[in-house]
Parts: sequence; C-alpha cells; structure tokens
Amino acid sequence: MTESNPNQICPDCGATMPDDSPQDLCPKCLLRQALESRTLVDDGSPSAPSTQPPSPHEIADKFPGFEITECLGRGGMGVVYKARQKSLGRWVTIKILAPERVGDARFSERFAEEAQILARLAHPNIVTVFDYGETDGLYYIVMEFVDGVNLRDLLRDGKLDPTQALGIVPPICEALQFAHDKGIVHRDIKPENLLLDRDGRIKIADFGIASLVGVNGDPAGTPPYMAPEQGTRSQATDHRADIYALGVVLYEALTGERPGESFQLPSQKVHVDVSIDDIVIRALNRDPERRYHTADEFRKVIEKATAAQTRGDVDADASPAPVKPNAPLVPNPAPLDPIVFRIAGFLMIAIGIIQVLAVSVNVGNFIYFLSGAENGFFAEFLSMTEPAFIWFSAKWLISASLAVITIVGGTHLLKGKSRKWALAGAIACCLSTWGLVIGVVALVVLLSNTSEVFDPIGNTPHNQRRISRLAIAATGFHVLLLLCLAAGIFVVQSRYPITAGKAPSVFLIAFPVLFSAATGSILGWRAAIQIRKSEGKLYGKRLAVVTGMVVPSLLVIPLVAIGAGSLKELFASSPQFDDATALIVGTTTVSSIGAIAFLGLRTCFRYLAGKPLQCYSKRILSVAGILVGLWIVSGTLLWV
Amino acid sequence: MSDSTQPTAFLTTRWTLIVDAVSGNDAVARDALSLLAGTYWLPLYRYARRKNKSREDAEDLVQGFLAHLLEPHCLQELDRSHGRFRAFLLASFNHWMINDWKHSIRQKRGGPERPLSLDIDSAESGMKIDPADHRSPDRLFDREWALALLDKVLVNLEAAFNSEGNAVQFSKLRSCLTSASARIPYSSLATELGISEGAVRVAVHRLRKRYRAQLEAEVARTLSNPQAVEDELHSLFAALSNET
Repeated sequence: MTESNPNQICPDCGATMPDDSPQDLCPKCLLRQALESRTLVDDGSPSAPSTQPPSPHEIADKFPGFEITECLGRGGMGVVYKARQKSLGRWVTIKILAPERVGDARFSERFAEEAQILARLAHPNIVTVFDYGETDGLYYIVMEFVDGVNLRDLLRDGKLDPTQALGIVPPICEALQFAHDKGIVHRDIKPENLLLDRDGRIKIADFGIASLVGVNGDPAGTPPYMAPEQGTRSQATDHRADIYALGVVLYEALTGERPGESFQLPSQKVHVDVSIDDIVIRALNRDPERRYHTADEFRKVIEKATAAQTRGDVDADASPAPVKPNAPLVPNPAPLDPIVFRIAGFLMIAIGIIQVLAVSVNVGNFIYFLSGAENGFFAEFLSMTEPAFIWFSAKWLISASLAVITIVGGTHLLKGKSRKWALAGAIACCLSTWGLVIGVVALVVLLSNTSEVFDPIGNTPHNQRRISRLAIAATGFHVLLLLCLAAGIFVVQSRYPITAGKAPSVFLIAFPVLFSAATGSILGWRAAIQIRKSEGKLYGKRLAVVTGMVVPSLLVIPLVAIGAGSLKELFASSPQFDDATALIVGTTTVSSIGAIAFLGLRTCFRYLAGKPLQCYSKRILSVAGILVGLWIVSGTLLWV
Repeated sequence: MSDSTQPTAFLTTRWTLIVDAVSGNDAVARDALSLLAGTYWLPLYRYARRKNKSREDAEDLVQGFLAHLLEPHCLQELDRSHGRFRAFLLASFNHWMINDWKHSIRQKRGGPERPLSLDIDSAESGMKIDPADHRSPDRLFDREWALALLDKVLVNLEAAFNSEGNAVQFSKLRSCLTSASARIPYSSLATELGISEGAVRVAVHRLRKRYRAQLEAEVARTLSNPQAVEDELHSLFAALSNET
C-alpha cells in the first residue's frame, strides 16, 4: 500500500480518498470505471450467438498457408481470426463469412464479385483485402491485420474529446469518397468497423460485406447506424447512407450517446462550436437529398468546424462559454427553392409534352396515310425525293428529341436536381416550335440564380439507383425500327405487284430500318456496359441486353442466307453428287452455320450480361472448329 | 504482496477448487491458497482489531486462522457461503475466533506454523482515518476487502507492465483508470510520453482493458461461480460507496 497524504481528494469524484487507496487512485472511481465499461460492453455487443465459432485449431487444416493463432471475435458478418501468412511472414486477419451459406450458389457468385470489387479498394484508410476464396464450403476473406482497437472499444470508455471526435471524421470521409467514386457503398459504417492502429491512424473495415451478407434480403447494416431509407427500400440506398451512418458515429463520439428520434444538439451536451450542430443535423437528415451530397463535402465542413472549434477552445480559456438557451431541435432549413424555379420547370414539362403530342400526331398521320392507300398526302409522300424524305424524318426525330430533353430538363428544374440537365432542357425548349418564350424565361431563371438548389452530382453514377436512360433510348429506337418495318411492308404491299415504274426506293425503306436497328443496338450495348460499371446504381440490364442483341440476331439472317446460297450454288453447279456427299455437305453446312450463329450469339449475350467469356469447354470449341474447318475444306474441294 | 513464485497452475482457478485440492493435501494448491489468503489477510486483521482484539491477539488470530486454513481436512465441514471467498473467509474467521483460537493459538504462538509474514505496521496505519466509525466491522471488512483486491490487481498490472519494459507508461497512464475519457488530457500525456495522441488513446484503452480483465479474473477467483462477477463487483462498489 502506498503511503499518501490523508487529505487527498479524488479529482474525478471529489470525495476524500482513504489513505490506503491502491496506487493513490480513488478505489471508488476504479471500480466505477470498470463497472461502467462492463455495462457498455454488454449493451453494445450483439446477442451471444447460440453456437460457438470454430476454434483456431479446428479450422487450422483448412488454411494450410496460414498459422491461425487466435479467434478475435464474432460479429453479425462472421468470425474473425488472427493468423500469420507463412509464405510472407505477415500478420493477417481471416474473416470467415456466413457459415450457414455453405453450398448457396447465388451467394458464391455474388461473393466472388464483391471480393473482386473490394480488392480494388487500395486506400491508406481502408483495410486492404489480400485474398478471398472458399475452402470446404467456408467463404473467407484474408485482410490486412490492424494492430489496434476499434472505435467501439474507445467509446466504451466514454465519449471522446470534441477535437478527437472531429478528428476521426476527415480520414473516414477521404476513404469513403474514394470508395464512392468507385461506386462502392459501405452500408455498415459503425464504430466496430472503424479501426485505430497503434499510430492512431484510422481504417475502415468490412467494406461491402454488409451488402454481401444481406444479399437474400436479410437486414444489411446495423439498426442504430442505418439511414431511414435503408430500412424501407433497400434498392434506393446509395452513398448517402454512409454519410448518415458517419453522422451517427460522430454524434456518438461527441456525446457518448446515439441520436434518437429527436436528439439534443451536440452543443447542448458538450462544449462544441454551434457550427457542429448544423453539421450533425445535416448529416443525419432523414431525407438523403438534404444530407451532404458527398463525403468530400462532409470532410470540408468538418475541417472548417475543427478550425473554429480550436479557436473556440482558445476563446473559452480566456472567458467562460456563454450559456446557450435550450433551443428545440429544428429541422435543417430547406435549400433555397424559389417558386419561379418550380413554375419554369412545370411550364417546360408542359411544352415538352405538347411537343411529344404534336410529333405523335405527325407520326400517326404518317402511318394512317400509309395504310389508307389512295390519299393525297400519301401520294405526295411517296413522290418525295430522297433528300426531302430525309429532311422529313430528321425534322420529326429532332423535334421528338428536343421534346424529351425539354421534359427531362423541366423535371430537373422542378426538383432542383441537376443544373446541367436543367440548362440543356431550357435550351431545347428555346429551340422547339412553341417553347421559345418559356425556354428563355427558364434560362434567365437558371442563369440569375446559382444557389445550391442544384445537386452538383445529380447526373454522376453514384446518384440514387435509377433506370438506365441509354437502355430506354435503345428501346425507343427499336420501337422505331418496328414502325419503319411496318411502314416498309405497307409501302411494298401498296405497290404490289411491283412494276418497274412503281418500285419503291430501297433507300426509303432500308435506311430507317438499318438506322434504327443499328442505333438501338449500339445504345443497348453501351447501356449494358454502363449498367455493369455502375455497380448496382443503374438498373434495366435485361432491357439493355435484349436491345443490344437485336443487331447480332439480325446478322444471323445474312449468315443463313450465305449458307443456303452456297449450298444452292454448289448443287446447281455439280448436280452429279451422290446422296452421301450431299448428306455430308448439307450436314456440315447446316451445323457450321448453326455453330457460328450459336457461339456468336452466346458470346454477345454473355458479354452484354457481364458474364465471364471463358465459358466454353475446350471440347465444344474444338468440335465447332472441326465442323467449320470441315465445311470450308469440303466446300473448297467440291468447288474446285 | 505479489509473489514471483506464485503457482501459475492456480492463477485463475476458482477458490473452491483450490480449497478442495488443499483438502486433498495437494502441495501446489496449498501454495495457491496461501497466496489467496496472503492477498486478503489485511481485512481479516483489521476486522479482528475492530472486534477489540489487541495487536498481538489479532496477529495471532490471523496467523492461526491461516495456518488452520492450510491444513488438510479442516475445511470440509465449513460452510461455503454461497460460493464467495469473501463471505467464506469472514464466516470461517468468525467461527475460528469463537471456537478454536482459545485452544489452539496458545500452543501455536511462537511456534513454527506462521505461514505469512504480516506487515502489521502498515495494517495498523489504515485504521487511523476512521476513528469515529459507526459502521459494523463486517461492512468495514467488505470495504477493506475491496481495497485489498484493487491493490492486488494494480500491483499485478504494474508488475506486468514493468516486465514488458513499460514502467514509465504505466506510471503516467495509471491515473486514466479512474477518469472518464473526456477528462483524460491525451495531448499532454502524448507530449510527456513522446508518442502521438492516437497512440496514447490506444494505450489507455489497452490499459483499461487489461485492468478490467485482471480485475474480473481476480474477482472470479474468489467466486465459485464465475458468472457472478458482475454482482460481486457491484457489492464491492457498494461497500466502497457507503463511506460518506
């Protein structure tokens, strides 16, 4: 027992300390701290799992390349082990995911996809993924071992000092922005996933694992840190869910409590600058649109507030902080949205719709007159010269496009979403037949006000999940293709039997058909690639695949024609073939054409659908190759 | 009070098992029990003093009791007092004071059977601060028990840090064990220790974690049911809180 001054006062509880206090520490506070942290441990940890995780010894033979030393813990996402990679002599963490998913093919596919995405996240503030795989039905991820503690451990000891709490946000924001730029959303930001290493550096763990484990509609994320939209429509969550979760973490780090339905402002609970209140409220806004749009934006305001906080601390040292009135929590004031924006947007949409109607009437007229044969307009149309026809088609194509742009721009203006689209819409409106006045008004409104009504990232890939516009456009062109085909058939039929003088121009029919088919397929192809790269932000994949497949499917027609033509030619030129030769030539031709068509179409399909292309076994490829080779050789021999 | 020769096999074994082993005349278990008793003799001594025993009598009582405790076959008939070593020790000691000491202590006094070297001066010093104490000796026993337990934990912790060459870190950071996190001057500690603030935070957290683990292990040793650690901590806290 250390001898000490009998009148010593505990600096923490203010009580007189007994002079036989252990190590001059207040025994009451010693026990209280231990008890408080124990309570928090029980409070924060997930309910104890019914089954014990396998011991390091039990799984050791499944990981021959690793020396598994200890089980670090078990969370909702799986079991974590500390291990040494024998080949490189480095410490790693092995995370075994969802043991109950053994043999689930969908999970397996998705797991591989996600792990490849995660492996691309090389950032100093993100736990690096080294390897992943499956062994004996256990899905595992090998990750960098972070020698330190997680933020939950630190928070168990109570709240953090405001400067420390604010200090953890910028590096997390940098890492999140990095991931969001790649279209990856964490979806489960919480203190347990924020690791601090021995040098105090912060690292985000478990990127993407929440969405992986939650693939079958299981709850992905941890309720107190889940943004409101995560609980309701899982498909509508985007990077702003991470910003919400980080807001919860910040609030908890500042105050030691999680924000409830209506929470007290941080400045009412701890000594922080009032600007922190606004930041927390904005990050925690229930409406994702009103949160910080990007992690970078969040980081910048935090850095600014940290500077203010540091200044404030210096001021506070000089004079006591003024007592703040107990202001009720007010919702974040809506960003400026003057009524003119809405009116202009509404008018633009109206003009666009009128334009679409006008175009439709024109097209309807066209088709109507095509079908009702003997009509003045129809006659006039058929007698058009080719340049006149091109002009006619171009005119209504252009007005249709202008109308669509006007409507889209009007919607953006009305909702204050993307400035770029609103501007494009206003310009399109100016150019349309009746939209000049409204277009000019919209332009003036837009150019005179540069407020933050507009989402600066409104049309970047990590916006809310939406349907691919390219896929829609591709579908539009294929509808056009059908109309053109119908029109072509009508034209041909109306002049049947075709005589020399009445032959319709090939160009008149073929140009629109080929143009629509090619444009539709190119757009569909682009849409498929874009949807694949959007990492789930865009949908409409099936539409894109179907539209993209139109031209490859059409290409089968000339292929069959070539095959049939060559056969006909062959038999015509050498009619002395016996049955056996005919059979061989016929079979190889038909099966070669079939093989080329099948392999070509399947390859296109797999490419569009984003499936791996190395899907053909060597046997299939060699059989196809032999068939085609046989066809070419026999054809050439017979020809000669 | 910490002993480098402590029998490691029993370091975390529950006391009931040790007592059972002692009853079976197991020498290692005897050492373990004497170590356990060594940690908690002081509350017993002061308890005896508060029962108006003289210094000499109190010392004899404690020594005799501990010697008795370490004898095989003499523990079996005793009440296990719901699995708490604290309650068991006090009940046994009371039992000992009432029945046995008159007969046995006279013979043993000055004899070879003195299992512990007791620092009676230090044990006396703690009694000065509660001159007009109206609480029962039983309550004070609990309070002193808690102090002895905490002291043991901190001494162990310090020894562990010293053996890892982190003595300076421990001496600087140990005050963090009582403070709420927000009150810990991380930045000045960082300057004193010459490491980053983040590293201090991590170090403090680890210190607390180790402290908690040591505390829980120490408490668990005095219970037959390790699940009751939380309850025991609460009652020790209550024993400490009653003093104002």
